[in-house]
Amino acid sequence: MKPAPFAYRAPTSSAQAIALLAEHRGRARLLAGGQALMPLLASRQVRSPLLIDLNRVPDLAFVSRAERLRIGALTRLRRLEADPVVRAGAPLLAAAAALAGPVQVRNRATLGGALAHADPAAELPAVAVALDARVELRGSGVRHLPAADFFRGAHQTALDDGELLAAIEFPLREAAFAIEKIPARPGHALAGAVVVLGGEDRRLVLFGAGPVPLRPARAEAALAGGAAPAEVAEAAMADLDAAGVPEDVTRALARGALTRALDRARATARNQVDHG
Amino acid sequence: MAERMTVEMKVNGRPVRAEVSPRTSLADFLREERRLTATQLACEEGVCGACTVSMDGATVLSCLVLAVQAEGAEVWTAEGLDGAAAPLAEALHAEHGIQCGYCTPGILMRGGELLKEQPAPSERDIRLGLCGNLCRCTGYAGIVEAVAAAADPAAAPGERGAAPARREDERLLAGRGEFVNDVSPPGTLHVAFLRSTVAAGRITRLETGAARALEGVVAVFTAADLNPRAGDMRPTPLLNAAEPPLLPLAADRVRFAGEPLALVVAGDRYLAADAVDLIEVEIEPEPPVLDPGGAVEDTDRLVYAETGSNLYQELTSPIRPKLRRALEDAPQVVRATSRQQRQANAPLETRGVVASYDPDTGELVASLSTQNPHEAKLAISRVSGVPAEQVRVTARDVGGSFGLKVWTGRDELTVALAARVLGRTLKWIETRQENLTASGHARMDVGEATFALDEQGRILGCHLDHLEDTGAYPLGVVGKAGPFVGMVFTGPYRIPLHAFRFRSVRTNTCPRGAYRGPWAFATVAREQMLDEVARAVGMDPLELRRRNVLGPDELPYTMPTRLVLDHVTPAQTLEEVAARLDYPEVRLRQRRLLAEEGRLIGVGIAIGLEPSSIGTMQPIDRDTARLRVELDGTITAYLATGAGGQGVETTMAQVVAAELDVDLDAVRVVQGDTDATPYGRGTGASGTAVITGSACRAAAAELLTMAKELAAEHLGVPAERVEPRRGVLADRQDPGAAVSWAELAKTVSAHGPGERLEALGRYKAPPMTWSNACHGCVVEVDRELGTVRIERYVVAEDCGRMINAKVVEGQIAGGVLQGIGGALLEEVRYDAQGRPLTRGLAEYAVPTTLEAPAIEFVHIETPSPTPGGHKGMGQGGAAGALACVFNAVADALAQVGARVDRTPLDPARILTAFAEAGSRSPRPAARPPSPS
Ligand SMILES: Cc1cc2nc3c(=O)[nH]c(=O)nc-3n(C[C@H](O)[C@H](O)[C@H](O)COP(=O)(O)OP(=O)(O)OC[C@H]3O[C@@H](n4cnc5c(N)ncnc54)[C@H](O)[C@@H]3O)c2cc1C
Ligand code: FES
Ligand code: FES
Repeated sequence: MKPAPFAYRAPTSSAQAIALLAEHRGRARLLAGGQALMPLLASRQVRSPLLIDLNRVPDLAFVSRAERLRIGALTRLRRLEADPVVRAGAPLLAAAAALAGPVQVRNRATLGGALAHADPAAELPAVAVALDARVELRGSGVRHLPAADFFRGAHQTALDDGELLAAIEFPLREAAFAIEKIPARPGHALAGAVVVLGGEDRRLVLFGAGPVPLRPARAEAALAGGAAPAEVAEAAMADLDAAGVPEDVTRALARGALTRALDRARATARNQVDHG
Repeated sequence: MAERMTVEMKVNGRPVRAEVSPRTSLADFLREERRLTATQLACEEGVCGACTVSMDGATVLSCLVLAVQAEGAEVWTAEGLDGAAAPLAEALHAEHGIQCGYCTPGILMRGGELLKEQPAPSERDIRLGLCGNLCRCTGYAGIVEAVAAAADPAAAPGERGAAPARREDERLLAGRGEFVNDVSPPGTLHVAFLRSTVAAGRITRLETGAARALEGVVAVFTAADLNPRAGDMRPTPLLNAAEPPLLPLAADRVRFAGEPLALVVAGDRYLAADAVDLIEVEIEPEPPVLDPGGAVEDTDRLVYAETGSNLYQELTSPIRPKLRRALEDAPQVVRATSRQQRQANAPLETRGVVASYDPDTGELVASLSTQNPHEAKLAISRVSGVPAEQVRVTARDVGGSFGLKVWTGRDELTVALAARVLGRTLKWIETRQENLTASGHARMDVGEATFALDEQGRILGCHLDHLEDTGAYPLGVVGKAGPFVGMVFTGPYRIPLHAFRFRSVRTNTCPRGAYRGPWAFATVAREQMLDEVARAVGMDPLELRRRNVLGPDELPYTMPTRLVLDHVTPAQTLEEVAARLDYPEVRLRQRRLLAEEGRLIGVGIAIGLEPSSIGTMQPIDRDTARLRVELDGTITAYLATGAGGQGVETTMAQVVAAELDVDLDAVRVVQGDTDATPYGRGTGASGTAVITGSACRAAAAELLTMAKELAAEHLGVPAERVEPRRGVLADRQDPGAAVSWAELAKTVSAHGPGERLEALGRYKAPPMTWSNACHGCVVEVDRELGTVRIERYVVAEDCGRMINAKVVEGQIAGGVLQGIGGALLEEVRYDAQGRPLTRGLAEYAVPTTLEAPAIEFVHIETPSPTPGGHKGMGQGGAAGALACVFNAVADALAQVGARVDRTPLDPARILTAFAEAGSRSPRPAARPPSPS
């Protein structure tokens, strides 16, 4: 369990990082928290002649709020959990970050890394989709993409060789939400579901059931039509069929997670109405 | 390629500047360059937390941070904590939150941060905050309690009179434990193995030229280099067994994915891994034998072509006519099946060896992670050809084992042989992937049984058909544990007739090794099946047990297999558990919650018998202890045991101190060094309390006889009047007249240099010493998520006289959590080609703080007829929990018609069971059963 040799650079600005990426196109990897990348390097499942360490790039680690909540890619998960601006503007993101591994991992792992890693069973990509986040990619130019278009497959994203994920923007919206993962604890999940209920806006996202976070359209329609949680979850199975997700236990897990998350989100929504 | 970079940081407050390669992890930098070895590496993939250090004020996993990334940082390790962690360190010590101590530095780092961030944590906060720190020994109970106590000292229960704190802890808390990876003599070279990724096949090419040519590589060995020089690799008890030979490296054929093909020796571990990468290997794959059931009949696909069959052992006890009639004609006949999945011991510390051979002196010195240093010495001698007198084995601290390190493994022996061949110091530390794929697997049993009962639910007889998967190379005494399952199957019940068939088969999988209770399947299968029987005959499982369990007046009881059971209390422990759980109340609540809220509660009970200190298990049926009185009057006990988490340094000191009536602090235990200690059994098979303890008593008695004579002379009274009393030898009739141990030691030393007052004690185990326990638990199964939450867990146990109640509870708690892991989470998996799928602790999930229940204990102390009245109890916790948790979940599922007959009961299996039962509907009233 020792990585193959690599060279190491630690740029101090995102511009430098992008220049290094351009210079070593295809032969370099960005290193953020390293909580996903380091194990892959150590087991030599991934090899990279050069690592470009983003940890000394201050302009990638920030949280700011204007019309949207804007979060630098290098912002650590532990900060997302605790930052009052995040907790107020995107409480679901703060809650999900607290589930993405044990403390030592979250002390180091970053939001950008979690999205760029695009683990099909991870909650943060699902949350980004559920909250309709927008990612900012920087390379030779700047691109913005809705989160739903960023995830292209298991561990595959819209990032190209010369680009880095610079920031993630979340709309500020009042909503009841719930996240449910199996097993229900910090750390790697088998599957899970995210539910966001904001007035007319109802978003459901399943993770672990397919290669990317999946929004089940039929289930969302069923929910809009007033269906009970179990029926919504049943409809989500039809969505998975349509998406070509094979019939296996992860589906059953995702279905259970969705039912449970719907229950919880609706309870919160009721409370908000009662108390709000 | 070999780019070096300068890095400057502060480590434990001191500025440090060094040249490192960019790929050096912070953990390796601290351990290898700075020699700060408190920080341990147990997975190198972020899962175990043993490598936790603090960097710039936050804990990080030092295996996942590069040394160069710590440029300018403030790094703190457990060595630097000093007084800073004092409250937590003291609490871990007081609460027995430490066993092997391998996880302890990481717990100190994270626990310290937690207390800083949350000065008044709830239990949930503590469990969440420590869920990234794995402990395989303690069951986390003492750890969670310690953090709570450190936050609020008023909450601490305080040290119990009967349970002195462990003396092993001081060094472990200070980060001064010495595990095999901490041993690095100057000039150490590092070993890595190339292993087969193919389960079965013929090696057609093995090209090592490029690896040999790599700078920094010292040697590359293949089968041709080592196999001809290797002596018998089998453990002592199997030396005469008729079976295919075991050799260091695969020569022309591979028999499991993980089998070693070549061994690389290089300047450091990074280079060794690079060299392994450069070896070119081609294996012509053949269809592997994977399914043990199919393997029995299969004569086409054979693990060993020359044997003509995959059947390894078969033992059948005859079904006598009376039993046959019962099984055919009894009023109630029930068949049941129990399947146990493949599991791994997964101690936090993997295997490892540092072996040095000095060609000038002809001496081979090896440090090993082993439970049994003297066996390691004999095995290394046999394999390397170095005479035993010239082999020395040391094992200071061992980071958990649970049976894995009882017999010295093929890989450790191969490394020792390579050290002999090269005449150098070689170090091999098993990677977690190797540990999970190539060290030893366990459990993997299938049992099918038939029970005959009368109308009242009294069992008339039973038959067990037991099939065991031994993997590719049967190792250790495990070949004997199989038949033993059938022998003890009827357990603590009045079952007059019993017969069994035992078969074991070879498959193209990692060999089977010993794991906490190699006989555990006897308990697991019987107890799971009894619940199945209860359901079949429509009787509550508690009631079925009550009708069949042996009561106090039925002892001694001769089992149908002629084993005699005595000094046990199964019926009492059963009633204790029923009372503690408030059984009738739980049953009512179970029904109410199902009817009113659709919730699934389950209750499980399992009674276990633990055979320990077995007199027929040579050579681990006996032990020797040497006691020596030092000139300052303290006593040193020289024992063949080791420090693997069981607290032997504490408990054996307690035994000696009690026998000699001296202060506990006046007794020191020396173990884990074959040069310093007499030949003995090591630790294992729950034998230390009875066998080693009795050897200590025998030595103490011998020492007392000598001391009394000497004291009698001193005091001018007859020896019969002398007795040990609070640290001195005193005249029974004159309280003022006494002589100290120091004076006696000096008297003896006056006879000549090196003369000491010392004595040897030996003990051989009786045929069997049984301890017993009853486990009970209440679980809730989530109908949507298929997850299981353990609400309550009760253990009532009887291990005879306890030397140290906290050590006993620690052993049970650790075993219970391994049992819970086996029942709910852990499974070693292969794909259809026999390639391992569980290669790390992320895939082979062992329980964390979040899965560990609080355990309630009831102790009954029925002395055994052995000298101390103890009974071995190190393994039963695992067996009891495997069955108890299974039964509780099965009980919950049965309410909605869902059935399970194998573990682990993970969400996937539970949801599948619901689906099969057509009862997936979350609320029975809300929807009709879902179409499947
Ligand atoms: C024990 C353990 C448990 C975990 N549990 C969970 C969990 O429950 N849920 C979960 O989501 N994750 C979990 N993780 C993973 C952890 O949270 C990951 O580290 C995280 O998802 C990746 O973030 P990182 O900053 O560490 O990224 P890195 O590991 O540094 O990088 C991951 C990948 O993203 C790329 N990358 C990183 N940053 C950028 C960027 N700005 N632009 C472009 N590419 C980039 C890297 O090149 C790499 O390919 C766990 C990890 C461990 C060790
Ligand atoms: S060794 Fe770093 S987490 Fe296990
Ligand atoms: S004491 Fe925790 S792993 Fe052994």
